[in-house]
Amino acid sequence: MLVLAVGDALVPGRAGDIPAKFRRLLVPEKIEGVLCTGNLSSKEMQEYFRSLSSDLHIVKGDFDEGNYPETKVVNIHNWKIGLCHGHQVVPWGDQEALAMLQRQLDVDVLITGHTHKYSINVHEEKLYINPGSITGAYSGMTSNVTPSFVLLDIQDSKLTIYVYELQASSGGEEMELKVQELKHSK
Amino acid sequence: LIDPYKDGGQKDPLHDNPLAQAEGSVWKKYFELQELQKSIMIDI
Repeated sequence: MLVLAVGDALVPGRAGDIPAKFRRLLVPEKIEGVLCTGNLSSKEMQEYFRSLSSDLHIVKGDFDEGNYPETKVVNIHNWKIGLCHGHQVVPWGDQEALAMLQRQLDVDVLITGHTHKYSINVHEEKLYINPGSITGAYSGMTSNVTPSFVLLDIQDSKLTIYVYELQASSGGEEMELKVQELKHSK
Repeated sequence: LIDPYKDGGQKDPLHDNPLAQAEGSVWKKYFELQELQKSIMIDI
């Protein structure tokens, strides 16, 4: 089952739109679920992700005004996946602080955002994913943000994680797609 | 039938990932066949 992990679009406040190269990749026939770390910041963004999959889960970001939960736990196959924006986790992005939240939610995988920097970590056999910002929106910490999102291929005891990033090419202003593949199992 | 999970040696994730649209991508062929199967089932 292919599940998109995404967040921190911050359209229109901090970014114009999802990059065209990403939009061309994201097609509804393939994606069966969307896990959103929040801060989409507009109804249009929410509807866009709902158009990719009706199985859309969103948590509340610090710029979201909708009635979303602070945290959410989603069960997919044998995996318990926790979702939280991450502004509540202090220090932001800190592994020990994230591990406390993972224990509170009792999940196999914890997906958070807020830092606008993609990261994948395994800590005490639990998987921590931050999909970054899909638009490359600037954050309170940096204006130099690489647009990114994560796709999870979830099977019974195995996860394949695909990281999609748009990095500036060495030649000029053209953004180049980079894809990484990582594996994790219980 | 195409199984994208079968290990076909070293794959380049840029061209062989579930969202890949490049001709020759195992995943692209897999999804095309899935669509074809759906159409056949509807016809049957």
